[in-house]
Amino acid sequence: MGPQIVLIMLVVSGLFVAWSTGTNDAANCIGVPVGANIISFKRAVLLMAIFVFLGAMLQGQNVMETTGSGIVITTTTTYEEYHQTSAPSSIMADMDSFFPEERMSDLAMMVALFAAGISVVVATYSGIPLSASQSIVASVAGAGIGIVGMQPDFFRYEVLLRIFGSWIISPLLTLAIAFLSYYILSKIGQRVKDVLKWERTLASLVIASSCYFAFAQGANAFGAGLGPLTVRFPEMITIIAAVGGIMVGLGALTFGHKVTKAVGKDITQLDYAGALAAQFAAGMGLLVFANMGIPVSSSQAIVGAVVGVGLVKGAAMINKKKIIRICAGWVITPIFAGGLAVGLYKMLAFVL
Amino acid sequence: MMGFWGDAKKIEILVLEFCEEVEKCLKTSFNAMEVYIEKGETEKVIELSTTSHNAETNADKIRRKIIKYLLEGSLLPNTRADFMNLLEYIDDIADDAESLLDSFILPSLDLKEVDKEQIKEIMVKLSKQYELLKEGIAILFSDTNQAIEKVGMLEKLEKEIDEIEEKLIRKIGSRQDISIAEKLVYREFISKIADIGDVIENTGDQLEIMIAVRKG
Repeated sequence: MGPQIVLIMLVVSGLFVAWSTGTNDAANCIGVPVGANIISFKRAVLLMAIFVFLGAMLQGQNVMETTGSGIVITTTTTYEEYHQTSAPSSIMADMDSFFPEERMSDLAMMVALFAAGISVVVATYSGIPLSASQSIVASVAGAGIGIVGMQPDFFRYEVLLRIFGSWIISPLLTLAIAFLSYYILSKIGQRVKDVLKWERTLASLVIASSCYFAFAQGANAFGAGLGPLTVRFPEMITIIAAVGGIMVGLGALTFGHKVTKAVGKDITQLDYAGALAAQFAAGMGLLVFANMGIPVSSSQAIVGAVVGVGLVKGAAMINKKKIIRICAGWVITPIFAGGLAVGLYKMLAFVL
Repeated sequence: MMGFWGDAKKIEILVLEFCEEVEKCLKTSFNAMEVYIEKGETEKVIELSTTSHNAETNADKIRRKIIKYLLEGSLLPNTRADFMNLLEYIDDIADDAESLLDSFILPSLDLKEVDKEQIKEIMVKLSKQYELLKEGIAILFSDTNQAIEKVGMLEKLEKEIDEIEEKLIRKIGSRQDISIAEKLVYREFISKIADIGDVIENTGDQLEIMIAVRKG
């Protein structure tokens, strides 16, 4: 398999990840309004695709940089900046050997994207809301392990820890925001005289917040998914974002219904106020972390938010079995993605 | 964004028109029964019966128009479902009022022995009950708290109607000068009128449910 074929496979893998992002991640944007019967599935997918594209184009830069080049140290300069010391000669030799082009190889990135995409598809098939960003971060780290082995000097653990930390903090943050938001909206709802008008207002705001969430999604998870491609083809970011946006839309349309149902109906019952509170909280959480350059899971953000909404009515309103299943998926998937990336890289590197 | 889900104002106007036609059907049915009990099947009874049937037909036309708009996307999906149910309940009121005429005037059943004053009292209470329901539906589009207040009064009237119904049926049942077949006809008549009160109350319950699920 020549370098050109690996390159082609890299691009295909990137588009595969974008499609898989659509099947799972993007469904998080539309699960709530579709689950609350505010908008049809097809209309929701169309709106989502437009705003995901805009988010990736306008805000995705920060996150694309992190997953593309921020986890594995591929240059001597980066090594010295990160470790605050000169690189020993052994490290410099390894660096030249592992990363001759001062970046992860096309093969490694192709493996990372492919492993991430596979793990997301498996989660989607199981009806588990799960982020491509979780899978990609783990599979990039896994590919890195495949290249350098278990050498800690080549990994930016601080970045990884920040990312892992955000996976814990983000659902708790969105839970708290959603809880407070829904509490306030419920109090307002009890006082309004024209409930039909109030209902229409809430529904309109849910649609608007879904678009906002999709935009944040584009900036965050979508950007994370395409990070490796933008590192390889920095001059083609616009085209990557455009094609990626289309693939995301196709993913949601073709295979997004399971996760849409999981988010919108299976965790707790959502009324229009709850839908708005959940969307708002999740979108806020995503943008906060996107601006910090940390790819967080939109699935965790929306699930945390939906749980927060349910808790306003009491813990009995939450489908605990579903939550446990989802949390298990969040732990297993990165491990699976990382392990798959290591194994695939070792196998393909040996074969080639 | 109201236009995103169709014209809510248009639906509001049609629903109120529908309620007016149903009221017309109800009141003319009652008038027809009153005259029939007193004087049998006269020209006046025929005229009132025809008016009642026409009102029921007009109500049906308006209802189908509303459903057409709902199917085309007016209102939010959950609200559409609630409104369709509400229309069905209100339509049942008109159907029951029309059925009263068909069950007793068409076969020319003799109802002269029934207590006319008590029947009249039931009909007055039913008219009042429906009026409250209609007011509740009208305010639904602007002040749901008041709408709940209006429908809250329906139950009291329904209880009063039930009490009169029971009294009348016992009275008829205790009479020795009429046959069992006649007693059954009178009982059927009294129950059919009183049951309209149950349908009106059920419609009020539906309205309460619509408001409750949106209150948060």
